[in-house]
Amino acid sequence: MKRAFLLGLLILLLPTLCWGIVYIDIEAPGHKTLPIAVAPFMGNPVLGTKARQILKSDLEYTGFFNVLKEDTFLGEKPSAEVDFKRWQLIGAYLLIKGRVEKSGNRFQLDLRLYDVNKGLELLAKRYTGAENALRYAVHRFMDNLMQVLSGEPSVFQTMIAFVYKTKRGKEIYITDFDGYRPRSLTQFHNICLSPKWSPLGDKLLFTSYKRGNPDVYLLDIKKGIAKRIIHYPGLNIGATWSPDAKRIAVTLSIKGRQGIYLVNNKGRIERCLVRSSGINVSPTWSPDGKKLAFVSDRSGCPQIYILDLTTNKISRLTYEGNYNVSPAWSPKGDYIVYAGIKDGHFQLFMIRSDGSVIKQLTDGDSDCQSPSWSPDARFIVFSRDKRLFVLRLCDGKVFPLLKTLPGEQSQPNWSPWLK
Amino acid sequence: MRKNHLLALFVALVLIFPLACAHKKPALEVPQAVTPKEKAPAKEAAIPEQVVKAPEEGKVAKVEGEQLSEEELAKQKQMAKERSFKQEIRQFEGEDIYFDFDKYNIRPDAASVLEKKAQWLKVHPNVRVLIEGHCDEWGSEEYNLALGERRANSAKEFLVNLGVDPSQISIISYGEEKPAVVPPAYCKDVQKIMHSHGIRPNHEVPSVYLGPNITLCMVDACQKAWAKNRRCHFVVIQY
Repeated sequence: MKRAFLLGLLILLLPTLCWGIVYIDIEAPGHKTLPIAVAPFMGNPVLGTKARQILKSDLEYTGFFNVLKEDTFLGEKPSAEVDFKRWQLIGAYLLIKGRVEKSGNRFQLDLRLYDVNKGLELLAKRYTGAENALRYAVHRFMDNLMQVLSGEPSVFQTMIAFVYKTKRGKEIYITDFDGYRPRSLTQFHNICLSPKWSPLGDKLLFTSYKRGNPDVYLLDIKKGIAKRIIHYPGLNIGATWSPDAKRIAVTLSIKGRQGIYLVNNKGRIERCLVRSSGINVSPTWSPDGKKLAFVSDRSGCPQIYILDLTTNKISRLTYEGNYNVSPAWSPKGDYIVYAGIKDGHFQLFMIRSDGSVIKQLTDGDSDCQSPSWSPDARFIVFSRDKRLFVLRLCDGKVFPLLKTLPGEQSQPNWSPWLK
Repeated sequence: MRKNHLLALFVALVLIFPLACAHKKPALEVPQAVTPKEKAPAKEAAIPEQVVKAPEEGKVAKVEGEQLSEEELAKQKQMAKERSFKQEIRQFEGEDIYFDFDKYNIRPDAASVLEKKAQWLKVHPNVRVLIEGHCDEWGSEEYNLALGERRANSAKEFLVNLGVDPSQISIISYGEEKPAVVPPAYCKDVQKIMHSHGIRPNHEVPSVYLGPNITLCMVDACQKAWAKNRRCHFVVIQY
């Protein structure tokens, strides 16, 4: 019953959450998917099967396509010409054709997207590279496809950073958006927490106890170098870059008072933003960089507040429930997602940044925590009972991120678009 | 019930009494006069005289090199002193203070522990101590880091108010990262039950809420574990 209600809410929300493209009638009620056919690839059969499989699972990841089953296909002579009639007959609106050739350990992949009803080629791309880059060529095509169909790329060239519990501590890990190839970035054999991507996606900020105190480290992913940059006595946690990448908001506890400070990229304090005798933690920037949401216990229990950086005014955002934490501001700016205790469980909620609308996103007997938005704001990654899951906002579907990695995972953070 | 107790007491007394008396009997007995078997000799024989001296004041035996042994003595004394100081440190470090859920105010039970600690720190001004703030596993990691820091800070402020030099104290928060007690695996289920009835970790759980696999004993064990993790731990880092 509750679930049905939740689904109803999400359906009502669809027009705002899902993409406004010409290929989906966003005015129509309910969640509609576009029927798409992926023809068997020509050329090298081994690489062809592999590439096609990746493409199909990428299409399914979005939640916007109905990937037609192969046994309905009428078959087509392998030729450059497309027989649109044959695809129209099985109900396909869109068609993808591919060809992959192999020479040595390199591939050449051609992918074309067609509008079946109009008989139009919408997209044609050729990618070459070493064999292990094949899946990334397909991912790149998918972002091109989403760009053409929705006016914006999706998550296919993004990664997710998270905290992974090992025998000797907690380390920072990253994985592809689809959970492929989780790998460690740190081997501190110590406690590492709260990874946050830089706006360009080339660096990570995180907190570690490597040198005893919880200090903020800056990790250059390409160079593989971590440097301690914010290390004031006391807490140095929750460091988050401003959208222009010039400043960092971070919780420090200077002279016994906990506050959120603005520091530059070298860790020098520019000014104090919020300070009180209580708790002030977990800052998150609005995408225009003019506001900061954070958690404070000034009301007696943790609630989410918004600081207007131009007027320095602080206003309380959440009033429902008595334990609301981990805010994350949507990259579109309209909503803030957070974790709050309701009926005894941590659930994810979405609240408009003016506080006017609250929507519960998760339900059930487990604890959902640490939400983070995808850069296209169509997905939220979060931890549920120490495992990572992805919530697809257009239909409310929740699926596990890391299917094969055992062990405790927490504090996921979705990267920006990586180019 | 009460009557039964009294009866039992009476029976016990009756049983014990003769025993107690039997024990005392020899003391009451009058010693009998010994009758000499033979007549005493008319003249006493001369007894050779013996000179008795009180024993001299004993001296501790000295073994080769008086000087060294005194040094050693001092050393031993020093070591004993150190041992007892280390014992004091162990005692100081061994006692944590505890907090209520999501709170960082000093409870009365913690205050009396802190008073003892303050006394000791004032007597040993060279001692430097690190106060670690910890939390239970309820709540978000980042909020708990902040909460642990507030707890350590409360403890520090309390000690400073009692006259401890603030430079003797540093603080650190470990949030929920280093629990003193890892709660048993079933505490996840206990937490779920408590969550679903909106019961805070330190509040009582009515038995009617419990499922078939959870007993009140288990709830108790979990609550004890969580309570042990909402703490400040004290470490002497220099002396």
